[in-house]
Amino acid sequence: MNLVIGLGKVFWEYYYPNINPNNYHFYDKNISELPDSLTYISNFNKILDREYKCIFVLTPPSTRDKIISALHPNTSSFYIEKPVFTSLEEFKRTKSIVKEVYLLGGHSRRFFNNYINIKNRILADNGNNRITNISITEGSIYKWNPKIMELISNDELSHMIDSLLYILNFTDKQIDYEIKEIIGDNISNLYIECVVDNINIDINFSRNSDLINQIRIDFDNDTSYLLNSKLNGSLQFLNKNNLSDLHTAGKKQSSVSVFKQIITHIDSDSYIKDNNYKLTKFSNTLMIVDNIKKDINR
Amino acid sequence: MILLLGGLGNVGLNLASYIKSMNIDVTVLGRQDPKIVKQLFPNITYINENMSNEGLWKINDDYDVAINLAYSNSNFGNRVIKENKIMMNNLYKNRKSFQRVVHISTTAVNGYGSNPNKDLVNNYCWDDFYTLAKSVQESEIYKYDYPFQVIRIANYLDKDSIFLKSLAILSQFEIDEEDFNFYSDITTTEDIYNFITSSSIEPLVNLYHPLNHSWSDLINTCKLKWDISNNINYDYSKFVYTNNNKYLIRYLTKFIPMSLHSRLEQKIKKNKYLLSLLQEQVSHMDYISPIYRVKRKDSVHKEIKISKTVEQLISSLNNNAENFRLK
Repeated sequence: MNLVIGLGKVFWEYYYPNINPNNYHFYDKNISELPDSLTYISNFNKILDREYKCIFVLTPPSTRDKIISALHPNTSSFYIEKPVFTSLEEFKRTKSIVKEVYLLGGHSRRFFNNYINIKNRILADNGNNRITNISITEGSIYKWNPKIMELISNDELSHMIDSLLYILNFTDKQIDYEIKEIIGDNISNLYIECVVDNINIDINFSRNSDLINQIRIDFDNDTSYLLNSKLNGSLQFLNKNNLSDLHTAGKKQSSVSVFKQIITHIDSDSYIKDNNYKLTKFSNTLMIVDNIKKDINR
Repeated sequence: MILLLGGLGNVGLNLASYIKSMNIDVTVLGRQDPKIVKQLFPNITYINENMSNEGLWKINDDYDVAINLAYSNSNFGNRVIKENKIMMNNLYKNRKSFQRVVHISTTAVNGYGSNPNKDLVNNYCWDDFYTLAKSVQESEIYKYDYPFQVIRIANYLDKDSIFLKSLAILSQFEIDEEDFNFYSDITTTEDIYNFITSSSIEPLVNLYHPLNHSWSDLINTCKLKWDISNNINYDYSKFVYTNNNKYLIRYLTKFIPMSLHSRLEQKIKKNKYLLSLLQEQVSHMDYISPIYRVKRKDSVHKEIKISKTVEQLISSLNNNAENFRLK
């Protein structure tokens, strides 16, 4: 039996279509407005005396360490939605309490076929061509209507940093990094320049204007990869002035089917021997996001 | 004073900014949380109201003109029809807050690529949910004779519009002009503003010139005016005609009772084959597909040249086009 905590929009959009409700318990502190299609638990004490295989934590970021600290004797793993923890320090503190339990970071973009494809191409190159610059741009008019709008650095930024580290296979590698410049109000726009392992990286994100959704990776031999960073986004190769499509982005996915892959990955315990998605490895993402936040607050 | 109903979309934001630049007070009414709007668009005067709510909306001031850009979207066609009918009925009930209501529609209400009709449509267009919503709204105006002026905008070109994106991508490639030798049918923010501030009493206007310049002329002008343009060569021919099956569900649900919608949606999401039908590859080159979607069969009169106004607009969009630089 598994448990889901936090039955908001993310649960109904992405998890609910993929799970067999007979194998799950569903907890939310407020169940009055939830549909009748499931049976819910709203008394926290009722889940404290049960055993779960995995607990899916889909609540707001600030609540997660308390939930994990309270429920770790009841499960062997937690799957925690991005940005996973609010800081690296919070993660380390929580991990020290729950040493025997797997903490799995919910960075769903690690399951996007186009991201896996570019990652494999970079790995296959085996450092023959050095990456010099990476430019990430993402932006569209914000269409969500949450109760509280999180800062970009507490929300979308973790997606972008984690995707970047994943593509570069830097997820569990010791990395050098330096934040060079940060511009923006962190609510509508954020621009960051940094250096990670001698690669110049700029990130441009906007919630109030459209930008091209692209991760561009430049090599020292004057070639580049252009990845459309949306789900199923194309991968193109630029050699001087010739742009060519790389038709190997993999099977088409939907946002729902990505979560099906994640749930199957967790159900089958694949994360224990995992060499691909490395869901337990997200501390580098937290470390860089932490430092960006510190620079913003300075 | 002008009120933009549903003015947080692309046309609304550009129009609000244009009207403001002409020193006319403008307010936007929308469903988005006011705190979020204030943070993202601090210069907008905003009223939070859901136009689907029956009864009188909380509008304190009297407005000279209300411009209705709002439409209701949903995962299912039947809901789009129902909600847009309600929305138009509510707009009618609230009409006394405004001296004049200008309803914004689209020339695509008879289907993308069709020649615009000179009358209000009284049938539903299922090309996508935007055209469905707009055709429902026009049908309601036709059916109940609502006292709204209707202007149909064609291919809207301004900051961040889908056609700006197409032009920004295409201006980075060498193109075969013959591939783009069809009418561009551009509507600008200035066109809309000029109509709103005119004394026109025409009940229905298709807001673009019937004889206008081609997309290839427009692409070439962009190349001349924009820094983004360089000599990247790319074979775009395979992207010219795409079959977008993403919206199949809309056709299916037209015939399916509302009570079954949520169950059907879940079934489809659980079925790999159906899901793959509903998905379409996303590509940078997807940005150019809107141009082909609106292609009309009429041949272009070569002597028609781009106006100074459109040239100036393109020049002013130089920085915006930079947001779509491939490299």
